[in-house]
Amino acid sequence: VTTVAEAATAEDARQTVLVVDDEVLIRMVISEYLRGCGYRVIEAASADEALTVLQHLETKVDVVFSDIDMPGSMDGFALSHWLRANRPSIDVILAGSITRAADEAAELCDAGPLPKPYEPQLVIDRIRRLLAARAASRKS
Amino acid sequence: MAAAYAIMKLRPSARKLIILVVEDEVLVRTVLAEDLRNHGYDIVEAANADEALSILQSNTGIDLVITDKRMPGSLDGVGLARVIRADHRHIGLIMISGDPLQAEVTDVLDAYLSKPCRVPELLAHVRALSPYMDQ
Repeated sequence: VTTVAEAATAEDARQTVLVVDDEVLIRMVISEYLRGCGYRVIEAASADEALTVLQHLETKVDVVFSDIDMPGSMDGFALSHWLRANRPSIDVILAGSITRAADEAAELCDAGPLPKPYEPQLVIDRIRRLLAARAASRKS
Repeated sequence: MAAAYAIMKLRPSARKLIILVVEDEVLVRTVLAEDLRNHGYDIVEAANADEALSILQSNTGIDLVITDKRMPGSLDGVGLARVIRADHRHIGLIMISGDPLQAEVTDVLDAYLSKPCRVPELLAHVRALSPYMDQ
């Protein structure tokens, strides 16, 4: 039987990844994948949301996994600069394409507490399928 | 009310319920999504109605949408609820609102809650909507 305190400790021991991407379908699939590898994942739809999380949420973020091109006051590079200046202990992963994001996520997964749930190619395939389904739905 | 309720009840599946949480305040969304994940639900997050529509249009198998009412962007929660009722009739719909809701809005919802949202109350609504998928 796990006590509440033990459960809370196990919870705290999980590494937390903050996934930042303005394309919701990519953010969703990458986040699901990283959760499947045992990470706790927080999702941000922009760099501004990421800053809100980093400054106000009482959760220690270990890794920021961010897209590069994003609308709003900061892109991925600016977010990365901010992190280096203000949160130097947080690892930053910048991924500017779907393939790159899937490969970087797989690499992070290899360092995670659980085995990789599936190969990164399936992440890429799933994102492409979702993007195609949305495009088809918008045309009809 | 309860258009989706009857349909969801008929589904004998024991798979995890997939819930789309739509909320523009990232801290509120994160905490709500995490609470629901801790109760065993699969949660997809959207930061606004446009993101929610992207997810619904990409065949992600969403069973239930929990949306905030006030949101910036091309559609607020009420607009999103109307689109969901028109295009995705089988999806359950719960709205969380800081303002009183008019009957024409509540008529398209399966349930609504006032802010601040209490998770046990929300969970009771989610369970009522998914008797065969309860964790």
